[in-house]
Amino acid sequence: MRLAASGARVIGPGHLQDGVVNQDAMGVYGVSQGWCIAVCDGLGSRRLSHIGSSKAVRLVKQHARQAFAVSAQTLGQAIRLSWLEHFGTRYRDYETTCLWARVDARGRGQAGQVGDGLLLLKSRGAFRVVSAARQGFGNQTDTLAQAGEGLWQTCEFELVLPGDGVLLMTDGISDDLIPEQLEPFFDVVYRRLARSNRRRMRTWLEREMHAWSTPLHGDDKSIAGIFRTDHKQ
Amino acid sequence: MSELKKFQIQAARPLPVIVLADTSGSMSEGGKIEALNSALQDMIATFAHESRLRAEIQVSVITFGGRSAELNLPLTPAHQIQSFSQLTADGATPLGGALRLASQLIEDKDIVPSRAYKPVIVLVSDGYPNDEWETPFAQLQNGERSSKATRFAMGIGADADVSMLADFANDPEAPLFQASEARDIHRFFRAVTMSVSARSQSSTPNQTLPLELPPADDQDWEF
Repeated sequence: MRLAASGARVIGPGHLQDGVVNQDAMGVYGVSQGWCIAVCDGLGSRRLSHIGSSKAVRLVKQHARQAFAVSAQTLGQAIRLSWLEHFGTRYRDYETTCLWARVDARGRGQAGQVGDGLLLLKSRGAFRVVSAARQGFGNQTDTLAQAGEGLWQTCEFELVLPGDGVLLMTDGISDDLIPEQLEPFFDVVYRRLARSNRRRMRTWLEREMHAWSTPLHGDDKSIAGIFRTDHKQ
Repeated sequence: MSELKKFQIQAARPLPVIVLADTSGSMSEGGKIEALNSALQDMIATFAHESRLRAEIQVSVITFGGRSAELNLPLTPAHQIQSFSQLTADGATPLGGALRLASQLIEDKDIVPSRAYKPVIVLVSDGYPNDEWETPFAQLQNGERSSKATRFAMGIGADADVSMLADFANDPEAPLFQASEARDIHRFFRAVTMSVSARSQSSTPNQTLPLELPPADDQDWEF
């Protein structure tokens, strides 16, 4: 079975203007002959949130090695507890969102999200938006630290057909996407990845994000995906 | 050539500013309505000419005077506001209707989309409401989306309902501002303008910035 994974992140013009570091973190890791990805968006109002988002991505990699018998909810909670344990009482300075996904060598997958951003899934050819509709306004988000029972949006799935996959992005991208165009967006990213290697795909994604066309956009942008590129054996 | 551009929204994220303006008969005294008109015009003009923005400032004006509250200016990008019709003062103080209109506006995702930055509501009044305002106020305070808005308030003169206005203001950094004369209306709106402009230029436009009132004798207005 062939899986392809890639991702990229760029600093937003707003942070460039202010001389602030990129507060997003993104990871794409080979895990147990499958893949694991994460995108995390450190809160702009917290001065050390770039460290918090980086730590969250590394914890996703660490916990993604667990057996698939562990549910997505349980895995999400394990990531949260490890993150809280690491930062202890100072955690508020490091707050971040967290979106993660993992797919094993047989195409079985799990994904989870807490906070802003978008988690898109295509399984057996059926596309769906896993993320819950936002109730508030832009940049008002839940965080990994707050993610007790009920805040995680999770899904368990199987990648069966070519074009099936899971795509994660931070709100620097998702807030500027036309809601009715999410599936075509997903498919364009898949088709590009299907004919690229991971490095070329990253370069292409970075170029696309640097060329972002929404007027006055300012946020950091991160995106990562895992796709199946062949039929089930 | 970008392959993803066609999926991107070609409009900036809005930062809505909703002004609830008392246009009751008492506002016609002491040059208050003239000062309010002038202050609103200055605020809109400043927003319209603001540069380096990270958000598109949109302005709406809801008046409460006469017999009922009215949507005087629908939520409109400041740079697209060609002219602002002068407010006239007359009749009662139907604040409840204005609060209801503000709630409806904010809760409507077609008017204020979820990607918008959290709205700012500015209440200006020189008297006591004389319609049923407690229920619409509770709705505004507790609405799913309206509860997240930043609320500033200014009471004008000794007859303003200070208790209600103080409850309305929900930003600890910006408690109720009490204006004793018409020129204070300008000072308040200058502070609101500076706070909103700074937010719109920030890399974190959702963070409310404190109202910094210019000195009473300050005639300059630079940004």
